[in-house]
Amino acid sequence: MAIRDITLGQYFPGESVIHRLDPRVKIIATLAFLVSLFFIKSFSFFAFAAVCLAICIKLSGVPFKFMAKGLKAIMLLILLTMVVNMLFTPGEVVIFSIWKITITKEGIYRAFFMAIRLVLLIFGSSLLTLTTKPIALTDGLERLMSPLSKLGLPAHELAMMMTIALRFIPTLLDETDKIMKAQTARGADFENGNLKEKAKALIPLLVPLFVSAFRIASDLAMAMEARCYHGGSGRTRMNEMKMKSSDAWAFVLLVVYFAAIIVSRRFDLF
Amino acid sequence: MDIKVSNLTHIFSQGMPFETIALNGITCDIKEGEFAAIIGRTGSGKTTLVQHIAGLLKPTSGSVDADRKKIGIVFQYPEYQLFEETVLKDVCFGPKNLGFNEEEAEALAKDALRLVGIDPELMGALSPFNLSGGEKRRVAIAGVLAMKPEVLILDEPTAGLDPKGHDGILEMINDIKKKKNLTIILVSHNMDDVEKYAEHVLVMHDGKLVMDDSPKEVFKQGEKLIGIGLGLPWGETIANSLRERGKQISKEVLSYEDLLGALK
Ligand SMILES: Nc1ncnc2c1ncn2[C@@H]1O[C@H](COP(=O)(O)OP(=O)(O)OP(=O)(O)O)[C@@H](O)[C@H]1O
Ligand SMILES: [Mg+2]
Repeated sequence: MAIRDITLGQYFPGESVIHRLDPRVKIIATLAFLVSLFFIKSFSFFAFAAVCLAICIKLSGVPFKFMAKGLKAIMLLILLTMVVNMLFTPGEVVIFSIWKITITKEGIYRAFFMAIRLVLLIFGSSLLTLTTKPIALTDGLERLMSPLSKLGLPAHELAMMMTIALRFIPTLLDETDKIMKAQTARGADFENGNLKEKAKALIPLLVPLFVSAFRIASDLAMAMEARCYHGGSGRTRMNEMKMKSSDAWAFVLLVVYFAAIIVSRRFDLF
Repeated sequence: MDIKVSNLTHIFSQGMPFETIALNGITCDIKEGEFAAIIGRTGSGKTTLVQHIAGLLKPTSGSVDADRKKIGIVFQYPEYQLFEETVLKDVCFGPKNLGFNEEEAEALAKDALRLVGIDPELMGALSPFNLSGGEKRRVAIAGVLAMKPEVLILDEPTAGLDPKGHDGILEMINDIKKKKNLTIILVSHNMDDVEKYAEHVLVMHDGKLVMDDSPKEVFKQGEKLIGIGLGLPWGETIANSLRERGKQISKEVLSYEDLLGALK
């Protein structure tokens, strides 16, 4: 897999309804969705949440294949969670047991429960980053956090730090790719060998990478200073965020969704 | 060793919306001992092509026939790959990876440093990070030369250097080529360099190979080159302007020397 294929925090260009929603609405909706997953007690409401999410994904026009690619990276984590839950959940109904390993019905139930929750968590949060430009995302966060700046939280600075970090992920990945190729051409071997050899093989990659990162950082700091950047106070924006009617509708739907999840806790559904 | 590229295609992020066809059915030959130049506009696929020749990328389809162990590649801004404490140690990195022992590697490294015009006794013990930009680049090139390649690929080796550093590096490359009988593949944006040094020019445009000929034949097709966003050597450019203004220049003019000769 090429380094560039990592889809973490990637933006998927598009003009869909979801893309055009106000970033603040999308952030709140995503948070609400993630929280709702922890309120759900039954598979049937996981199905409900999945359908709602699937509709949003469909509306966004991001191909499912593309979303699934992000899942591949954490497949191992999901499998591990499943195994651990299956083995260590105490339960009554034993399905089978060999030696010290007992698998119970409750264990299997929990394993799938956790796996589904994890998958929905990943899909839900990647939908946000896939449909929101990093700049819009951090602008949205800044606006959402700004009431807290009265309490001394440096909202603007935090948002700016995130913007810069997000902006430089692809740059650093590119840089890594380039240095790796250059050192491979000089006979470096990043794949074979035992752990110690592998760790040692990283030096020719990490040293130039750090040098590059510091160079990029100091260039950027210089460029920002040269344009008189001095933090958030008194800064105006080129694109003011405005709520539209579609944002209001999204909010209404969100409230309905959340209410449904809360209500579901009152019933014992499978 | 000749290099044979047949029907080479490379697609980045295949199946994704930002899919790029970086190379589209390239077929070409580079003969042993040749000074070949690859020119083309930004994004035309030059770097991708030379990375394939060096065996650093897997083709989407097609193939490259070459012995990877005999090919050395110097990347754009190669000074960013320096990492060791001293210049000498850094140049030793390649030979050591090839399995040479400490002494052999050091001997190879010293030879390579001398080839690029850096005195190993004088500068070998310095930190590579304390050198000037031009010196760093020479050290990085030495790092590749120390592996004794038969084919040396250079991806824009003079990017970001001043005119003197620029000429210095190219003269050095040309000297090394003659001394060691290397095959050179030079990626360049500078038509004067190509005119001056290359024996074989490959012109890339949008991932396709659009011309594959001697510099003389390539620069004859000035209109076509300008059409794909490239220039001409200055001598030819000035000669064309003079012709437009009515001056008779019958001979073919590429370089300044040609021009001076023709104006006499
Ligand atoms: N790792 C990569 N992932 C995706 N696309 C890439 C990658 N590397 C190059 N490309 C794309 O492939 C095309 C060819 O790139 P390449 O670097 O070969 O061009 P180039 O001719 O060397 O340009 P330059 O003169 O700017 O160095 C470009 O459109 C580029 O955006
Ligand atoms: Mg290039």
